[in-house]
Amino acid sequence: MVNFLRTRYLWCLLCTCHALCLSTARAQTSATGSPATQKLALTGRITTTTGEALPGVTVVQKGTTQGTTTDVNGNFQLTVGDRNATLTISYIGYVTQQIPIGSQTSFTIQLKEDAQALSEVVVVGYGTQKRSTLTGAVAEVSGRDLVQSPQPNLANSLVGRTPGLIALNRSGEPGRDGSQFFIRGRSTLGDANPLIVVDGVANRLGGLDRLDPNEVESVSVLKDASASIYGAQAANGVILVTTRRGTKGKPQITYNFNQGFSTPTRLPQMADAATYGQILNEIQYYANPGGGLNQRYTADQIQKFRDGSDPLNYPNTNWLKTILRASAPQHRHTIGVSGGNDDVRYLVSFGNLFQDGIYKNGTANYNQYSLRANIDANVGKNLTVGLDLNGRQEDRNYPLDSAGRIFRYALRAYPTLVAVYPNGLPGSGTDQGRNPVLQVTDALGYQRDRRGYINATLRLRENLPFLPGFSIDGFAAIDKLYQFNKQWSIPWTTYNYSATTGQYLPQVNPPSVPGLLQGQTNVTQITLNGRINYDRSFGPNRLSAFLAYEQSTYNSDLFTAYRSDFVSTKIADFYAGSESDRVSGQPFASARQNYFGRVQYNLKDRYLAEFQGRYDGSQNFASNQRFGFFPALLLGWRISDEPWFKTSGTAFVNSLKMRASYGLLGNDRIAQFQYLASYLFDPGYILGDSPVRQPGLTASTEPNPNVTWEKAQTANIAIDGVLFDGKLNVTFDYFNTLRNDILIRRNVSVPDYTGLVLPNENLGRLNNRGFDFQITHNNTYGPINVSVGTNFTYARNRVQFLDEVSGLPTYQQQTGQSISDPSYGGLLYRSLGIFHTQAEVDASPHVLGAGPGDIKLEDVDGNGVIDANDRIRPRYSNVPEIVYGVPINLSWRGIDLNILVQGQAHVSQYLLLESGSTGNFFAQDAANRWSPTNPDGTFPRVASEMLNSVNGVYQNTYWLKNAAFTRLKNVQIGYNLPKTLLDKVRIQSLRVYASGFNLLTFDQLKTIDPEGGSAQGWFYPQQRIYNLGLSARF
Amino acid sequence: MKRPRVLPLFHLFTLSLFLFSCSHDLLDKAPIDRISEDAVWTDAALVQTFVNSKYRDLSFGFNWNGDELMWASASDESLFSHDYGMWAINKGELTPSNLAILSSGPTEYNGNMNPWSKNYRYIRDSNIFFGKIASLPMDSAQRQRLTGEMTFLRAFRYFDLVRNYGGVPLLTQPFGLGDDYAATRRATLDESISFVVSEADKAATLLPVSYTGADVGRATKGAALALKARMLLYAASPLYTSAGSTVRWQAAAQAAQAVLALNAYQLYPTYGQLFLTANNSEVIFNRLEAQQGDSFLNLERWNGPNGYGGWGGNVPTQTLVDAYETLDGRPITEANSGYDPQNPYANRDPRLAATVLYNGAPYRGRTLETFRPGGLDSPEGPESFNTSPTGYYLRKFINESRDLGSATGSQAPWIYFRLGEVLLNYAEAQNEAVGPDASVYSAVNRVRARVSMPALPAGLTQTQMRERLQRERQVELAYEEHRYYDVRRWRIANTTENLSARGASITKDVSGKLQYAYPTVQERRFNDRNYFLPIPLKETQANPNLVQNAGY
Repeated sequence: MVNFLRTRYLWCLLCTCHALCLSTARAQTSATGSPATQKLALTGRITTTTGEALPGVTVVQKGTTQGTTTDVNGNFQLTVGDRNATLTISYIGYVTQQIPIGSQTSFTIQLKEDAQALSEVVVVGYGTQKRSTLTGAVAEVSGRDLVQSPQPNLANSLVGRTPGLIALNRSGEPGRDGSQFFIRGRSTLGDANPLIVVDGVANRLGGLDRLDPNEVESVSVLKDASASIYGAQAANGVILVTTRRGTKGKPQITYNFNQGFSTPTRLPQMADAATYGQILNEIQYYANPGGGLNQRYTADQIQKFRDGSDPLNYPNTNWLKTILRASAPQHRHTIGVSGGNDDVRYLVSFGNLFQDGIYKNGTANYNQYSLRANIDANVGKNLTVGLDLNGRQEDRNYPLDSAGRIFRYALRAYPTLVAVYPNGLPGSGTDQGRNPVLQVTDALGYQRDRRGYINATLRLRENLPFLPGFSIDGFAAIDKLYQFNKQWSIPWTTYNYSATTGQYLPQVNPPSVPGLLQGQTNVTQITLNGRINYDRSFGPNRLSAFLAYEQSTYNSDLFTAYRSDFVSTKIADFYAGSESDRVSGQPFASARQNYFGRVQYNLKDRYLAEFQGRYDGSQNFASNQRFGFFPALLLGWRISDEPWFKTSGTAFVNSLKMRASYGLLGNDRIAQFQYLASYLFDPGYILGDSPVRQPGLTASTEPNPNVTWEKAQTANIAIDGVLFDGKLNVTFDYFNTLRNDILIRRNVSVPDYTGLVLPNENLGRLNNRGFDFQITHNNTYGPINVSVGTNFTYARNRVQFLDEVSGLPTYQQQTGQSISDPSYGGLLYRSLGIFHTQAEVDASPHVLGAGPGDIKLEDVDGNGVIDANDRIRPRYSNVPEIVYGVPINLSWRGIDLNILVQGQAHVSQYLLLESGSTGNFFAQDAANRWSPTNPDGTFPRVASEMLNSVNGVYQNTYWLKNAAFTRLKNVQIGYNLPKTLLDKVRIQSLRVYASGFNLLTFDQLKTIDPEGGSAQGWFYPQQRIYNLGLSARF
Repeated sequence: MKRPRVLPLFHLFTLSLFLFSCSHDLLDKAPIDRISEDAVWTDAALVQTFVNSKYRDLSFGFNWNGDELMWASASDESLFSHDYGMWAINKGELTPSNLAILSSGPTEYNGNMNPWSKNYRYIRDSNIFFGKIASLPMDSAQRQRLTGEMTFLRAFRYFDLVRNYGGVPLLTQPFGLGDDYAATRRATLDESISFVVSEADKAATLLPVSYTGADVGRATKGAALALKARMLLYAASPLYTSAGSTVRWQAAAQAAQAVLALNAYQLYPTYGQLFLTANNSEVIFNRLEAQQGDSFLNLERWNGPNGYGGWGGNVPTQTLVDAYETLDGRPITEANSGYDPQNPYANRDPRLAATVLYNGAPYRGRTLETFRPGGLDSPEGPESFNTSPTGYYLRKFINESRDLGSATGSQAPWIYFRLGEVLLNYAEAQNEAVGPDASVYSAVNRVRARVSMPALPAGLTQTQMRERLQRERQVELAYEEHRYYDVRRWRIANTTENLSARGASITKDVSGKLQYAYPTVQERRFNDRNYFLPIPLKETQANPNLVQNAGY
């Protein structure tokens, strides 16, 4: 149904153009003065099978060019010259009908939906195209699939759904749980984020993350040169989101409700107190071997940690278990009304989303209210006006400390410390009184982030009857963001139990007085777009084109203020603070200006050609570098339409198309004004006989007057096939992208003694190539409908030029290798395991300070010493080269089952905790550690700071983990209640379902979620969600 | 239904868009969050502001890595308990590719301890300034003063480079993008020293002896002369001139004398308070912290005892503690010195109590308890992981009256140059140049008299005087970033820095009697190459003409 709605709306627009062509054709025919013997005036109305009027339907006298299209009420009038003629009624998405005229002059025709064709309209940049004649690499996910996922963040529902899209979910924190997108991997060393376009507006404020999936019609991903219509922002690919709109018919009220419970996918198992106590003993032993192995704790004390006989003095705390609850609730309500008549169609919806944090007594949560009204009106015969209003309130509440910080302290926290004493007083935690039990609450203060988004668009479209084939359209979009941030920090008290005195000594932790930091950001983005369209057919030729202008301006103002010395921790408002305060602000503005257009030529729907280009202006660059041209050529050949193909005995092939595209795309995502020499205010210096801070100025980066965008040359060759009466759909794309002028800093070849703060320069060159494919099988086995698919993406990048010093060994050069992982800087020594004995150490080259229990590093260049030349460049980074998804949909009578399996491969993650006397260890690492008493250990000997020990400072592959995984991403089982039952209660349809997200994960990194992306494990864990929902239509 | 007649509004709308498109100035945005280069270099007030931040960028001893680490802990007087990669220096394991705590990259602690990159970054700023200042519209007095300040600041940075690396590239013009960076060579050690000296001389002629009002704290003539004196003292030392040169020592003595001759400074009467008082009478050049509100230094917490909620960061070693004489003016190792091993902190040079917090020392209303069992500041006290491994805590710079929980930071100034140091510089240079004459005694005894230590005994030989002066510097200038460089320039680091760091382990027996032991806390190592730091690998890779320091 969702697809049907979308199809209708979109084709309304396109067919209006089509009608213009046809009516012109008719006029021409009449003008030539065909000798009609008897003119018959026919009238009719064309509707769907449910009786809804269909505007824009083509009605043609078969074998002639005489024809018309239906108006918004589905009515048509046509004059023909022959009663024996046949009318051909065609409308995209519906089965074409042939109707002999006979004696009838008035017709009521119902068109049947063509199930096959329904999915065949695809949203592309500035328009839509039929899937059958599409020439670009455009993947699409329908809103129907997105609602299967109970994940509250839309970004996380796209994963595994479409080939070519890599989506990495690094954190599960409510309100900050979005995915990072890479379309076909990374093609740049700089900003690789794709452009997000919502309802035709690029960079729409609010993005896509927080859209209610019930409001989303479809999401398209432009992967190849088809994105070039977005010019200097297109090189990383484009994601187009289209929201749902109203259709003509009786008002329909829909209500969706989801109640979910989220729980971490995986929590690390940390070492227990007895083990950690032994580790501390070993650390002390390594510092002072003469003192033996019980310098810190006696064997007796270790035993007390182990047996729990004295929990006050010898506790054994599982910190993660102490601060996290079993599950956190979340829910979403969406209520919508849609409908319309001949003149006005509307869809309004209201939604509420609430996500609670996983912390015990925690303050983290996310609450959202959203309101949408998409309205279309026919103002005149040729003029359509649309008004989209979207408002959203996003409230984020967090403890004072960020999730990264909380998990940092929770992983560090010693199991030998008491979290909360039996009398209820909190312990002091690892340091600075940062007891994670308190960190997750508002005991230290809190952070609030309130955002109000308004997205308003006025659309106009007018056909120009006096200019055959021409129409104009345009929109004005205003986006506003009001963001309010509040950070309230207060002193908090923790306690230290003194075994000698039996007292609980209070420790007041900073700040000594409450402090309040508030910020207010106002952002306005205005986008104006105007377009002239042309669309006409000449016999078998069809030509469509448009020329457009677009500009956008972005203005942001930030204002922050701070006060401290509050009289009370109860009042978190400025009036209760001291007179001494700090106020600051930061403005920002940017603008874009573009001219672009597209020409499509199509011969017999068989030979397809498309040229598009954008002349793009961005104020990020100097005035002589501002504009660039980004053209693309796309070609297609529907082989299956060739007469010879149809007779070649390949009847099982319903459709076969080859397509190819090539284009130039840009990426201008860099800091502004790098072409100007400028200075920024800094904290200054304190001077004076009564010292006060005096302002200071720092030069920003060295200017680069030639800075310009990155340029991507993208080629795509693909084949699309529909086989066995649609039972098998196959799409395979091969792509090759060369990115030039990548904006990087010459940090490596320019010595530090120059003192230069380097700007970005258009230096880098990188190749990214690979393939993606999608195979879908649809069939019916008895009463069971089955749809099984798979999508797969492989994208391998190789740096072709980068700023490198000469004389590097080839295995260290970035050139020819993949983009390195920023979490360790690209070069690692290669670990050969652990030195078990001093003899082993002496027998091989080793770094200064290495001894038994330390990691044996490979002498890669064989020169007998371990030095910087022995570092290698690991192949994989923490952005996977391979991602895949397997969606499975089954339905039987009223029951349906949807499953999504998703995974990634060719990916690694550097992972070295802040272990040592500074923090705890993963339990499995602690159990396997080398020690004088465990000389066969496989984990390095412990050190006061593993990060700064020889094993950590000489960063090596021991810490590089394979982060490949396969996940059971979504499961949804639903039941549609029988209509007979629902009729009694006046409900049109009612569906109940249960669903899950991230239910199972198979991977090799057993300690922590493999999708984390933090080298120290500092992230809020990804969430597993169990959900129950219902969906009703009245 | 009658449809409204549509006015051709929409055509106008579309047309107007295309007209808009002619307005190319849409993209002509001027920066609104920063100041253009032209604006800065035509406005005297903004140039002054630019110069201000060059002071801020000077490294100072309290938070080398943007956190609580002190450079003192790189030497035998101190130990940094939180590591942060300090071991690579303490154990002589620095290499060009393992700069550990001296890495220039963004670290977790967001600091930049790499003296190489940091100094050259701001030397470039100075060079830009010198290229612009001549043509700036401002009164000549202001121009002279600003030029003097920047000359001093650049010379100070070069001094820092020389003491850490030896001869370095002497850059006086700013590099531009695309210049030939590989043409740069290291100057010789002597050339580098001469450059610092001549620049300091130049600054001294441009700068006033003192300031008033809001300018107090800026570089003075005295600061420039003190810099010159320290550079020449280093230049005369064994590390810098293997031959040993009376001429060099004389130059160093004269330079120190020139500072004294300004008669602008007096020794501050109380040693401990000296380090808490901004712009005091002894200060030649210091870095201030604001008196309220916006200091982030938290010395009391960073370095304080665990029993008070401190983190025991930079803690004194037994080596430092043992260097303090008894009140009789004798080393504790000397027979009849009056040192009592059962009461080791009594009867000692008052500077010990002003520098080191030891067991039994009064602090914040009670006495320090590092004894076991049960001591509040021992591993059995609260937050045992913040216990000092040496059993000592830092007392110098610590303001006992400051609220430990206060959001506002410490206000201790960091003193770059003070009269006490210049007196000791003079005494050392003069002793080496002509032997222990009366002026040597006079200079060192002034420093000792301030803390009521007896004058040095008459009749010391030159060698005996050298030893006394070395110990005098060790205790007088402890934690002021001198020890690390002194032991190197004297070429004694291969002895002193090869000793293990030891601490005090105090046991209280049932009768309440304290037993003292001084176990090793950290084994240390020093190699000959460690007299200078390695130049970062990246630099010699980017410019193969840059010669690495010997041994690395």
